[in-house]
Amino acid sequence: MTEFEFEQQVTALTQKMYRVSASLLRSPQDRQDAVQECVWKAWRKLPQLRDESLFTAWIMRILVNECKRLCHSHWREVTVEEIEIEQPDGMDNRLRDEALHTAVMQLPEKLRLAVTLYYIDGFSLRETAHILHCPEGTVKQRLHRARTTLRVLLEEEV
Amino acid sequence: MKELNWKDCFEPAPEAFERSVQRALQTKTEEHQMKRIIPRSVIIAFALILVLMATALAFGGDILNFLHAKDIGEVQIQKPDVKVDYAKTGILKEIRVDEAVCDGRSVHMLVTCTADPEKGSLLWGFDWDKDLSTLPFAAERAAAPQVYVLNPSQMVVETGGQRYEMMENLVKRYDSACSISMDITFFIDEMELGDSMTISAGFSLDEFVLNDDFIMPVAETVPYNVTLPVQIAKARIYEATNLPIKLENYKVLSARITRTDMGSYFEIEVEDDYDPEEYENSMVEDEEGCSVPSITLPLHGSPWFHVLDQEGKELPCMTNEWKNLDRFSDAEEWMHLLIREMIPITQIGSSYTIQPRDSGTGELFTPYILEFVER
Repeated sequence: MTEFEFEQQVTALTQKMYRVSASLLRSPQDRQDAVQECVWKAWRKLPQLRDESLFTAWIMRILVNECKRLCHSHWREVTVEEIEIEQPDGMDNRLRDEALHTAVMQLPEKLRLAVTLYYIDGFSLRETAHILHCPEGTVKQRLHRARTTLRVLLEEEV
Repeated sequence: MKELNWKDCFEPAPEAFERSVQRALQTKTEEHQMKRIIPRSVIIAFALILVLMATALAFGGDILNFLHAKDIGEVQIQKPDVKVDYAKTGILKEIRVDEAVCDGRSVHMLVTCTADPEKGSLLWGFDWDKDLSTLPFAAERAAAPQVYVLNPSQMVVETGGQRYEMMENLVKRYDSACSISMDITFFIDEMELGDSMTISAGFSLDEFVLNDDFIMPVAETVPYNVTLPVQIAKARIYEATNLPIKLENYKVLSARITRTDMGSYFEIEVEDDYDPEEYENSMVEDEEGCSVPSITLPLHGSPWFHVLDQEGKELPCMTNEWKNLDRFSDAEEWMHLLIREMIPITQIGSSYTIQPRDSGTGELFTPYILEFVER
């Protein structure tokens, strides 16, 4: 893969990357940190990717890793900008389905991530399993649990 | 579920996020090189120069006194510059910081809070629902005009132009009915350290009303700041020679002790020892018809370990953390972890026993003796 192709593929994945990072990280600053680190890491490790057809799943897996690393850090860096500006990245909540968003964000992390990748980002079961590094059966099981939970949450909403 | 409008579940990526992606692409080569050229050791070396300058000017010489163990360290202590923002006429008469020191890996502080005996006595925040008669100085506390519950607030560290929210480890001791001392310790080795750091924290006092259903109005909030120089202490490394080994159903891959004058850091790398296929095949249906694994992976709970000395006595843990290791996959079920603890000892023996424990269930597993040699 050439540098130009890498840049094109990453740019095309921006929306998917945002949704995955938003499903795991609350802070807009953390999401930006995670995606930057992901891109740098992917570029460094690109020579290790033997099958380029797996690029999308591979880079998404790196992103999930980065988000989790930030999530599970025992401390979190707080920038001055983050404290002073309420929504530094200009996030516009009016452009989303608030009821569905709230319900999805109430799911446990594992279920939320499976739903984001499979239903929202449109990855196949196989790709989702690859990104999450777990068997397809586990993804199916998580999706099933997520659907059951979402049904309850959304009924409560109505 | 397909009828749901999934595409509207998240708002579109904001411009700032898109800019981050583009900036990362533009700087991918540059950042890649920078990260290699300016490794942590260089940052530490730079901090060390600053620290040596500060040390030469400021240190009078003293030794550490952790609550767990006296006179253990040889790190010379900077008398901390403590600024406490509260009215001296308040319930808390004093917040005293007797020790505040760092070795480049962690920070240790000894903080004592003392209430004005004429106003009331102190009860540690996590003790409020205990049987008060079993706590130290119970009679004096009961005789006080009022009991106040002392709660530590979020701790924030500022160094190197950045701010960090800390999850500190805290061990308390009742010195009297009106006074509580605390060992506060936290890791700093992932921070970009400046030549000094300012720690901002505080305490809140709630009125404790006996026999009244947990109504505890806030009586006072007392912030305090501590400024101390960043010291980078010389380290000696010891590595376990009899690893890897399979313990119960997971593996200990490596273990290391890093000793500084301030204490010792045990690091243990562990991973689950399960076959993913076996795990997948163990799925059974629960009462709701969902597939669930019948195998519980050992590191899936709250893995931890105790460090025991040659006599089998558990060594006190000053602070600890665990993290998923980056080089492993992002598997959620199959864990590969680095667990580390700071132990307040400066003389390293040739062997230590580790005893794995699930801190969620309290279950203890088979202990194992690690043999160490200096690297």
